[in-house]
Amino acid sequence: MPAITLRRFLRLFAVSALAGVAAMVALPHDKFLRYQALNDGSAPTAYWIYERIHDDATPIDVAFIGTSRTGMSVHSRRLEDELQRRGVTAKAVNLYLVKTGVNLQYVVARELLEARTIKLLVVEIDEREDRKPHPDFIYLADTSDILAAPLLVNLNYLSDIARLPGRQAGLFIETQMRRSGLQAPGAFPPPYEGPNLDHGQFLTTLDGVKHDRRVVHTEAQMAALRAAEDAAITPPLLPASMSDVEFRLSRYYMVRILDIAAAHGVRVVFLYTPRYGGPNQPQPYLQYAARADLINPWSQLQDYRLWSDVTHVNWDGAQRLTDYVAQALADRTELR
Amino acid sequence: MLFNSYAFLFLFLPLTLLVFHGLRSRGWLGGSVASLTLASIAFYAYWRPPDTLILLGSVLFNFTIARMLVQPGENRSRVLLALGIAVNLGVLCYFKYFNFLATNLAAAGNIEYIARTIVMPIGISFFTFTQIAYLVDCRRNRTSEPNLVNYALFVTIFPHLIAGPIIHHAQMRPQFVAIARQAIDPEYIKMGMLIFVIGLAKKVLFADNLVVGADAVFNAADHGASLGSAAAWIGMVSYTLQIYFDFSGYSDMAIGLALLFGLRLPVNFDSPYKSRSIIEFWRRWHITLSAWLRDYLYIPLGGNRHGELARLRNIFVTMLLGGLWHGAGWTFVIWGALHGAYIVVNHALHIGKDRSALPEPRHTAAIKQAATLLLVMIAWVFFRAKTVPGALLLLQSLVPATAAPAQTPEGLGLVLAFWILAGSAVVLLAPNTQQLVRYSDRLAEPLILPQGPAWTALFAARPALPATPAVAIACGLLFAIAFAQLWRPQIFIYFNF
Repeated sequence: MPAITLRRFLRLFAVSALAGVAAMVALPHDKFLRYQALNDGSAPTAYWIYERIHDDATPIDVAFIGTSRTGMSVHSRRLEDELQRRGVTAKAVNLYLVKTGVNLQYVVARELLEARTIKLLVVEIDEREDRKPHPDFIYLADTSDILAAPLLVNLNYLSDIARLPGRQAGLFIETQMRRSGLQAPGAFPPPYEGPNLDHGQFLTTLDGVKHDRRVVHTEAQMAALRAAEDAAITPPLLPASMSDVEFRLSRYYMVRILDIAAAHGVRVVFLYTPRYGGPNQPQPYLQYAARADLINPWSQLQDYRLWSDVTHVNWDGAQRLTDYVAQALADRTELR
Repeated sequence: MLFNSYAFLFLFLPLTLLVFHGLRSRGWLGGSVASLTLASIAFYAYWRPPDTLILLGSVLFNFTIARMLVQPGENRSRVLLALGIAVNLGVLCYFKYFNFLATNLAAAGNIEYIARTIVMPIGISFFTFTQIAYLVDCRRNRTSEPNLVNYALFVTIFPHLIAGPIIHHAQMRPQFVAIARQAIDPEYIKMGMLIFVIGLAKKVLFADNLVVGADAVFNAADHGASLGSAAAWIGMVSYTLQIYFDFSGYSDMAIGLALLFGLRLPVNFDSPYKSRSIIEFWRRWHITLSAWLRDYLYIPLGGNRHGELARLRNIFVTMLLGGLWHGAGWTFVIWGALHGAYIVVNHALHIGKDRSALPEPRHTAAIKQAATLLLVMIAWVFFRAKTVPGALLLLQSLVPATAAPAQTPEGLGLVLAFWILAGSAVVLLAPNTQQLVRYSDRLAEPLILPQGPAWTALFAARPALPATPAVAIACGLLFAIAFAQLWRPQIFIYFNF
């Protein structure tokens, strides 16, 4: 074969590298395995979410989407009981994922709405908007979601794009191995827990650690925790007139959640999950007020004994908040 | 900045190449060399900016001492050399060995000692050794560098800065002069890309997949968990392959990167697991360190000048210190001592024998290769284990009769089995990188060696690899596959040393 010039060598190298990357991105896989891949201890619900949506025929009437604040706040079985007590029969699921980032909540919401018929979607809203995308977006999002994600003010865009070929190739291989019965034992997360995945008095994460949710801090301890949390908050970096730029990603995906719910004829309600000592109204809600109602349990959560840390209620707080939400939902028409 | 990170591959490297070759295309050859020096310092500063002061301080100190060394005066130069070596070793000892020494001395004296938090500057072992060699060479009138920028480039040039190969000034200076005066042969770029991609693939495909097996088993052993015999063997073999692919992959990447800037770095690996004796292994494994230890430790200790016993003693001491160079811990000392003992025995077996005997029968060679590999693997157990009891437990578990019934640690599945088999085939059967691309690190030879009988039959009939379209396409596809593995970059093992 003839020797080639440097220019031609570089051109052939670049074209074949790009073609190789494109081919890997296009590799198919079983989405089930994609959700299984996010099975580390810090994100204990992804595997369950997929199975609950796709493999469990138990109806889903009301679904909660959010972060660990929602995960620790709403006890779905207690909510079902409380609704029943108020004359409403409904099945509830808490499809929360730890860490913040509305883009991942959008992925879960769409997965749910495209697969199931539900009556009400309850979406978490906090006192502050997220600037950053969810770090686990690359694990769960479809290829098209990753490629078409907003580029502007999306700090993970390039790294998500770069990680995509590896994700696709890995999942493709795993899918083929699994179909051939070659998957190594022990590679799967725990067995499916049933239609409700709730955290009661204790929370056991996938790393095996059992967290006691009955813990109560003193008021001074809570004040100290709050001061530390306050110190870690980055205030808005841009003037208020440019908040659409700074928080573009959160707003973009929140609007998409509202849009896709509307397209499926599902009503959305926001649930304010305040932090300890946070404001009595979530400022970010105002921009969506015309499209969805708000459940605001702020007044119920002012006692420091209801908190396990600044952003998560303890078991007593969760019971109180769940009961409050049950009452708010029972008063609505969607579940009746 | 890791060579296998997005930041390096898609930001630092393209930018550095663009500036370097951009300046050259405008005729600013000297400026391009200066830009490479600045880029190398920026590369180092990316890790921990304050460490850059230590690096630059070390460069400045050694440059000053070397300038004074080349001035006449025998006694003066001896004192200066001793001072230079002492300061270099003093800094290295403080960062690398202070806690180890203090902890052991305190334990010996039954004194309580709380270890200090000392963060070792990355690459300090390598840039210290490089500069000690430079001082010695200056005193021996083998080399000298009057230009601080060139000297800084010699020490800091980013492909070798963190983990070698250990370079010598006499080897690099003519190359620095050449790239500052003349155009770079395009063959360097093609070959550089090819070697870099091969190294990247070794690291991210092989080493980073094999680490799963090694970590699972060694961590279990270090925690005292009972291991089955199969698991122990899998862990030991995984690590044996992992460290080869990790370090030789790094060395390939370093050589490839240097070629992109028109420089040739020395070869560091030559199929070491094909060795038929421990002596041969050390001629093929981490070649530049072996040469450094020979030239700057073994020979100054007396080498073979005072009889056979002294020679064997010097070999053992050299290997012991070589082990300690890798890390401040008893596991490294034992690893060095084991290799020292292996080589001593190996030499002792050869005393009085005629080495120019007829070629060995094939089965004898295979037995020798297997025995050598087994000894190397046993030593790697100490190198990898965090504790001596952990290493001993793993070694004990290798024997089925003594292995406790145990659960298999997680991660030892079919995927790992695939990488072990594939990795074994590569290290035992395939030609190595420089054989594949016919790279020569000898400046007197052409960059690409001509076709010769030494190459394996598999590739003997093919033309030089970098020159064909098929090779360019294969290189691009291999890069794509390696790129797909980059999303969880693992640090190189030798970055810890």
